[in-house]
Amino acid sequence: MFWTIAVVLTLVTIAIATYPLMRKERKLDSANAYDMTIYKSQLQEIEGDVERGLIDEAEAEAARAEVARRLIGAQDALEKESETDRKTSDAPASVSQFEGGKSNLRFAVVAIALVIPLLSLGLYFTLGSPDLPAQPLQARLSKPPENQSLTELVASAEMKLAANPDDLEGWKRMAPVYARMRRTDDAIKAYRNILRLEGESVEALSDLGEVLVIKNAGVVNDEARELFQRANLLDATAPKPRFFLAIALGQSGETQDAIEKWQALVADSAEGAPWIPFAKEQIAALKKRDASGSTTEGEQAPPPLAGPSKEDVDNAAELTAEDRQQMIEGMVSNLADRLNSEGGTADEWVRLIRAELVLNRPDMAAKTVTRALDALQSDVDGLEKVKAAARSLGVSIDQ
Amino acid sequence: MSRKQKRMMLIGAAGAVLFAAVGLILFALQNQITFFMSPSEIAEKGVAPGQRIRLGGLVKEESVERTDKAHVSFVVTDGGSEIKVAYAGILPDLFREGQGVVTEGMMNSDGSFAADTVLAKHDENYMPREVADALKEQGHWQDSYGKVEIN
Amino acid sequence: MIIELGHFMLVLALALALIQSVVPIWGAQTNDSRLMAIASPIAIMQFLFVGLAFAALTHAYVTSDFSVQNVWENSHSTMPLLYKFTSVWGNHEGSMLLWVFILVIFSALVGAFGLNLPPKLKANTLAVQGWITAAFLLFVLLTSNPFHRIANAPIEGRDLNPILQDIGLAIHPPLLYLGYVGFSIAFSFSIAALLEGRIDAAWARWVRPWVLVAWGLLTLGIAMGSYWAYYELGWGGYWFWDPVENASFMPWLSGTALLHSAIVMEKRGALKVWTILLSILTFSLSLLGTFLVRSGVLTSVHAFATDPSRGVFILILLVAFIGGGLSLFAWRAPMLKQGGVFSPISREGSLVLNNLFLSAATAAVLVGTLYPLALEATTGAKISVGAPFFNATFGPMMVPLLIAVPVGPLLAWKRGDLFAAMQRLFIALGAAIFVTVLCYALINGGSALAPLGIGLAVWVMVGALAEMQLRIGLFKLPLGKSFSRLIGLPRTVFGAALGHFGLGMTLLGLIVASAYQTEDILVMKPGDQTSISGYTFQLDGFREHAEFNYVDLIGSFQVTKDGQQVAELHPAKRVYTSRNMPTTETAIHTIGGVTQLYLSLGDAQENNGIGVRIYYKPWVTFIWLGCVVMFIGGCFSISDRRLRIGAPARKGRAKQAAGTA
Repeated sequence: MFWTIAVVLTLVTIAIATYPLMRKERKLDSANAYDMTIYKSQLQEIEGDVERGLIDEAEAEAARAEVARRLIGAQDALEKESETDRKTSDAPASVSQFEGGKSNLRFAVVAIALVIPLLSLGLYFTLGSPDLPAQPLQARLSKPPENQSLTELVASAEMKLAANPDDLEGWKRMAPVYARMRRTDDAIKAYRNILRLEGESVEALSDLGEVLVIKNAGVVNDEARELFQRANLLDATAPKPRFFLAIALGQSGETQDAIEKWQALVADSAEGAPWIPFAKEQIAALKKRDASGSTTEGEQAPPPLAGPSKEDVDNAAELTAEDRQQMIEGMVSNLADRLNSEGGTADEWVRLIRAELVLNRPDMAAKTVTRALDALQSDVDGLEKVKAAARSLGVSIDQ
Repeated sequence: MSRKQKRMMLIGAAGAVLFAAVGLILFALQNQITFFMSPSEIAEKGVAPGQRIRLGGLVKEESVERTDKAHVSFVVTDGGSEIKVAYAGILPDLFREGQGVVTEGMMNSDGSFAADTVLAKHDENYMPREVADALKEQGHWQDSYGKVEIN
Repeated sequence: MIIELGHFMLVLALALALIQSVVPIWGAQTNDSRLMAIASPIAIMQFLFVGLAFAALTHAYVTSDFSVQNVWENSHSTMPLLYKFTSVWGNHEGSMLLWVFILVIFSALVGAFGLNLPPKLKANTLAVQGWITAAFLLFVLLTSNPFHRIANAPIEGRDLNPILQDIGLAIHPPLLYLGYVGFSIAFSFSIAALLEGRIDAAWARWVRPWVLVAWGLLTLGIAMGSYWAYYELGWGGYWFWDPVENASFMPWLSGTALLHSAIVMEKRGALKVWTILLSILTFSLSLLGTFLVRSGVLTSVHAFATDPSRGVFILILLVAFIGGGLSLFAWRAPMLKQGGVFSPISREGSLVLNNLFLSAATAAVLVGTLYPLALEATTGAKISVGAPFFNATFGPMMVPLLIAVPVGPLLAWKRGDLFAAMQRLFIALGAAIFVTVLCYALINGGSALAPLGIGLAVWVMVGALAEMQLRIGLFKLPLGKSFSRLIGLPRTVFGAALGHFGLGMTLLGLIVASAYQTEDILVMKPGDQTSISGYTFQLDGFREHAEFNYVDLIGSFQVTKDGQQVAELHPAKRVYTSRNMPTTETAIHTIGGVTQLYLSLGDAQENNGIGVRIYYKPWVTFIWLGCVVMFIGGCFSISDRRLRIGAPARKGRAKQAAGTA
């Protein structure tokens, strides 16, 4: 379709551009004749100005004389021209001139007929994207959902929500999607709307808290902490508020309380609950800190491992393979950036190495091992940990 | 007057106007222009108090203080040196800590700067050209400077 | 597909422009009417194609098609429809497309309506237009292509710079472009005339309407840009001598000179060389302006392009057109015959004076604009050339010119009588002196020179009225007769008088507003009051108001005078949420159509206070009203049917000519 129109346009353009060349040669008025028209009108204007009293007679006379001189000059030139015209048209030489004109014309027609299509199609081929269809937003959003991409689905849902901001179901659908897409601000807005529309629930409170934690790079701030406490009041057994409250305690340096909470959470959880390994890690880390850190009482304790929450990873399971890949890559590169610029613990380095292997990048993993060994030079245990992990994962250590 | 005289008069008049114009322009270029300087340049070369200059650099973080009414002071830095600027008036829309700024005014004898104009222009990537150059000279340039966060 | 068709048509337009650049000139050289005849249809087709391409881009904006990179970068699906339209040219690529579109509009107008032009002049003129079009289309297609596509279209655009989401800024670039691209026609006419070697009084008659169109639109565009800066930037200024403003002001100054010298050329056949040179220079200044704004050499209020490769491309175009034009001029100009003689005291003499001062003023602005760039490039020193420089150079050059404005039109052609002219102007002179003395007597404060300036403005305005009064014999002839004379008055005379009157108005506004304005900058809390120039402003309170793309902090002020309420004003501090960008929304109250109270808000401060700027600007609207009057004057002149003398009658033309002469 596009090419049909393009070709037709080109042909029409050529036709219109060459049409004047196909017509009969016209005898043109000499430029002097045009000049004379102007001068004559100037003479009339002088008369008009005199009539209206705009100029006095003496001035008019001078002007008249001058314009008349110009007029006569143009007329002389015109007559001379027509004289030479007459002579040349009588002479046989004019035939060759006419022939010359004809070959000029033929050349011009061919040139136009070649230049227009070659240049326009050639240039368009290099610059244009003829196969790319138009994608007006409205059309993209009103496509049947199965043909929409993830972003389009989200956008059309957003449009509906913008039109009807009290659509609780809509917010409930969107909130976790936002959280997964890492649009934390939108996720926060969505959860707030859910709270506004259906009142406080353990789920909504703790989900909102979680997004706030993600936004704060794993730190449970006061606002989030309060949300988890409210959720915890509603249902003291719900694991998610307890999970984050425990993290909060650990982060604020209340090590003993944190260990107790974690232990209680582990005890209350069913076998194989996804947060148990993380909780155990935390307990171990906190105990270690408690043992070594009693001397540094009062100082801000370093936050223990916060990492992406298990829910995040669980959520990742619901995404398409492509989205998941993207999300994992994003997380990995975040971690890598942080470790490279700020350093980190041996566990974090190992996690990065493992992740890079999952993403099937053994070269990167090998480099990470080297960097980790550099970074952890002063940490003998850490070095051993990384080396052991690398060996068990089959990454070569070049040193 | 003959034709020639008339022509000479015309040329004479044109010459006179031209002469006057060139004179005016040269005079104004001597006296009516303002030099742009960064805090480091001022520290290095010194500026006589009372001479009008433009001072440009970054507004130092957490240096903006509002005194009474509409008086405000802040520190302009280019990474090398810094100068305290006092200004009475409303700051332009895009004036922010950590962002580029150009101020016009005079040095006080105590080494602070009395600005009567604070320039900010409307461009989301606005970093005054002079400020960018001055920062590059001091080795404090980052590409992210001057860009307002775009979500 | 619409987008791609638009893109394709732009490429087709380029092919047509190339043909238009060559074939008509060839026809003019070989005297072949058919080769010349293709210029008009090709010009009109180019207009159609570029217009449709522009429409295609607009369509992409309106439908928020983010597969077009340009749309994605400068638009947002939730923007009001109006701004979807205006954001088409609110960015580098789109505005360059608009530039080319306006260029081809002018070519098409010459092609379609230039029936009274001699064929060779028309063919050559259109060919030169073809060169410019081809060059700028290449620039658009190769360096600034608005039709560049993104394969994976994002779902939302990056939004238009909030500062551009304003109707004033939306409208003034097209007007400015219409103005300074319009001067391309004068340029093309000059080059065509130089190529053909025919430059006579008739040529000036043909060029004048085009110069008038460009000049009128440029006047309006500059005025609008100035008013936009006044109410949008929130510091009460209306002219900053910013390089971008200068870029549009320089073509205006030299265009004004051209307007006047073309009159001399038409009436007397004199100043030919100068007029040709001016038309080349005026368009060169337009190109220079485009270069300054578009290449990113300046970082300035309006500059949104910063890609050096584009700068180099435009620089090459600039050098080619200006250098080429001036070289052709240098080669051909010495062959021109001298025109009529005149005495220094004459209409011509006064117009020469006008041209001298306008050119000198243009040169001053040019130096002030380019000197900082040149100095930085050569020595590295950075300077700023601002208002003090221009006040010291531009100002003094304008004074003698303004003194001469009312006198010129009253002098006769060839040899005038200065004494008689002054006699006729005694009313104007009296009024000027009276007003000056009155100002000194009544007004305390303000600049000591201001009353003189006001007197000068009155002189210009009353002088224009006095000229009209003389022309129609008002108070001398019976009223009925005066009226019929007024009706019969050539529109150009009327237009000139209006133009001069408008100039006086603008001058008056500039002087009064800057000399007698009062301002107060302070921090106010709800309940606070302050008074300036007899007006009391009380801050009632603030409120927040959120729209979908911005949040306003609106202050509510009661303005009273002598206990009577004058107005309620609501200035606001606006923050556009998508870019977290603050802008100022001023509140302006106009008293009696002339004086304005101007209020803008600064930052919120502790203790519930807020910075407030209040200006009392007497007669400030005269600045822009004067420009509007000048524009109307231009319209009157264009509508004069004498500027549209038809082509020679087709049949028996030679005989008829012989008969009437």
